[in-house]
Amino acid sequence: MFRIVEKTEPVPNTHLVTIEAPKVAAKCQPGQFVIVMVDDRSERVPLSLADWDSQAGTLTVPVFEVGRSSRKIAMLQAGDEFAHLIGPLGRPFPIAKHGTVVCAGGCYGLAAIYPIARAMKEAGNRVVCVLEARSHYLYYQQDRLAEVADELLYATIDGSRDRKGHACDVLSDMLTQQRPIHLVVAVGCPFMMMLCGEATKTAAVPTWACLNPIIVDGTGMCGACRVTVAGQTRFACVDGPFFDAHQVDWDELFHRQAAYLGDEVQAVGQTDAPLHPHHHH
Amino acid sequence: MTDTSRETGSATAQTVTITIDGRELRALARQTVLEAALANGIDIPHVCYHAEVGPIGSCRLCIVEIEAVNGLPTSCTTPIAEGMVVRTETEQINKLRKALLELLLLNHPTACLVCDKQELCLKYRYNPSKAGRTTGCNFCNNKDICDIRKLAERFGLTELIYPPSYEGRPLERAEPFIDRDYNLCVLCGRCVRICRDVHGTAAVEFVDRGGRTRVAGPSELPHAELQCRFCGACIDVCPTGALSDRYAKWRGAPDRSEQTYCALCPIGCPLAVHVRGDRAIGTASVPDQDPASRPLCALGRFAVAEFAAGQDRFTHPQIRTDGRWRRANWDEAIRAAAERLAQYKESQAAVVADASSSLETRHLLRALAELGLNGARLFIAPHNAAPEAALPALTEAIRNGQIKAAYVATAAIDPAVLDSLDLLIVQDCYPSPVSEAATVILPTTVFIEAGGTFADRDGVVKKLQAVVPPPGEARPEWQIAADLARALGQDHLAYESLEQVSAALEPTASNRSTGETVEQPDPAHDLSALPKYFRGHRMSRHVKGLAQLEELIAGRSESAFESGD
Repeated sequence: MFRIVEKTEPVPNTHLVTIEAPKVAAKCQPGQFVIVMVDDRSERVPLSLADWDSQAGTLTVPVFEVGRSSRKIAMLQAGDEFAHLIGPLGRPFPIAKHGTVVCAGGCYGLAAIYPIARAMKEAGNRVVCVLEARSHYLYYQQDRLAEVADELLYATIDGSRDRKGHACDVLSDMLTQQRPIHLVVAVGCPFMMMLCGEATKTAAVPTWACLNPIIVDGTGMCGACRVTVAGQTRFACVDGPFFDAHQVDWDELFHRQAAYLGDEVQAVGQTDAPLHPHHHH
Repeated sequence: MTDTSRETGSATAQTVTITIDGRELRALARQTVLEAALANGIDIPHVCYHAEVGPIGSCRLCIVEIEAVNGLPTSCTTPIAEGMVVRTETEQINKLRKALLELLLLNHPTACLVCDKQELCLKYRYNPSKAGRTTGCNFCNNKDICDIRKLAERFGLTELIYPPSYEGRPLERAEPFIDRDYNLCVLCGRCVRICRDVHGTAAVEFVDRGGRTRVAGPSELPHAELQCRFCGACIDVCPTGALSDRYAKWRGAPDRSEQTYCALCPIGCPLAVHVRGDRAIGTASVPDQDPASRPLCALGRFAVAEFAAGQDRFTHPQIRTDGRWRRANWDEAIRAAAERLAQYKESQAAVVADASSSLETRHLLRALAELGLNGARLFIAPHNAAPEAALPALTEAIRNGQIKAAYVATAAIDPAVLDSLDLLIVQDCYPSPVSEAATVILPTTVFIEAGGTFADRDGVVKKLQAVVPPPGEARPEWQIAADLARALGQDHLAYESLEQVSAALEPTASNRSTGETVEQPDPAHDLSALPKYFRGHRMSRHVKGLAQLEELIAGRSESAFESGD
């Protein structure tokens, strides 16, 4: 069993869960993910790493509540346990000195981009973090990112903080201003990553997206996570999760993500909620 | 026009002439400017007004200009008068309305409304988000029907003047049937008013004052203890996603709404069934009915769609041979049932109908017992009967060996005596201990999937409509019975259509009365009067919210639970 040592909901609908998993924490590398099961019958949920502490034997994952399984996680509290946790999974993101690296995050990616930003900074890059949110009240963990980034740029969809628009708009601004960008790493929903890829395509800036299809076993056995990149079928779990954003078949990813939508809608209302809901603050 | 003249005249007949936006109209003298406008297709923006709860003039979006009247009165609270000249859209009004809407949106997550990639987003992200907390319109459960969103689009809102705030109020989703997220609430008060003013309960009210005002129960107790009877009217009038029907929540807007009656109990309330595709996604009381006269009970409002959509519904006929079930086609199953039943005619056989079945079904089952099975005994399981206690005479007859074979169209049979039967043919919608003991299972419809008529508890005959198709190969009960009759050599009972059966019904008293005319507590006003069984199936096993409600009621049954007056 894997005990939760800390759980918060820093912004509406996004939870940060710190879990005791010493053997996993000892081996995590930037860009990897873990799979958890709340109980023995739960869906296996892949979760990007926000951070880990090999000394304390813990790791932290962001969870965005979008259905039954993430809701079950959202309703856990510190002291509760996951039945299973496996990882680290996926290929680590290759860390090297490129020059200026833009780390774009949205939604759960605001947390999940951190390990890559930190490693890129340590590798001697100038790191610019582009943070996307629907509104100003949806930013979190920006203080941690500020510690490893040379610059933080904000884009809000409602214009309530800095640039009105999306992360891709900030990328376009930077390219228009002819600011140097040598590499872009985007972590967020497929829509956000797809648009980031479109923004950098003409300028041919290498852009990596952290793909999040439905993943079942996470070790390359089942094939549920197959995605098409540069015309080839790849497994997001073992060949990724990072792929060239300019070559991803995004339409297929959107389509495959919705494969079980009917069952998901049926399931979400069947989830038990505690009678005394946790308070957001 | 004075109040006196409005009251003395015939209110329905008396009309006055007014001019709205240059159009001369005749309107009922008792109407307000807003009502007269809406009745004539002039859509003055409004949020707090709703036809079922009346005006309070708090959102102020319905302001208009009236000649010879100072200021900009709210049209929802201003009665019309002969010769009145009203303008609903002027530059000043539009500017003020937009500003009012912007203030309304201060505490309502609306980022998506002003997103410059809305079109692209909708192209790729049209599926329901199922998010716990809504932080944008396109990810809201209410996105297809939101009044606020429609207004923002109508006003052409492209930016937010004030940065929105998010209060972080707790989600309330542990109670039966209703999810509440007051972070989406715009304080229109429709829910408070329909609960208090129309239904005479007060499960929710305004709490706190000024900028801290919110809608909540009068105490921290669960709503079930705050006089809430789960009629769902609050959801139906909510203009936002703050209140939602948990089952319907992410299933989108209905394509159509069909009218039939609820057959879950013998009251037989009129029911509007919301249908999307070929599935019922929810139910509501029938519009145009006086909402005060007939709120739906928790079953009618929240249980019908979920019960009909259960994933363990029978979808194809099954035959058991040598202890193993196998899927069969209808011809096979009917033949197998008929061949086996034919061996147990007369008093050895029983036909068991359910009181909830249509008159057509009961007519056929009776005829089948009398003719097809040469005088088999007919039993009718009463409404809301627990299987153990439903039919004591049948139980006794099976136990003492008089009845050896049964064709049953209900699950309300005492499971303890099933082993004493040599043959059991079951016609039902869901598995039960009865179907587990069967030799042949014939999958059938529930009432929203089959037509027919039924007699309510006062003997009034009501016509049911098939508003959605049955799951898989399930068939209406009358059809199964007619096919069985044919297989048993009773060609005159082998009706081809429901209309043929209806025409054959004799309008006798025995057909038209359930004999349950005694005064009974009303489940719409008394949670403890909610039926627990339908066709012998425990409803709470199929409808999650009912299980939660039973738990809540059980939890306080030892304390002083007042079940409502």
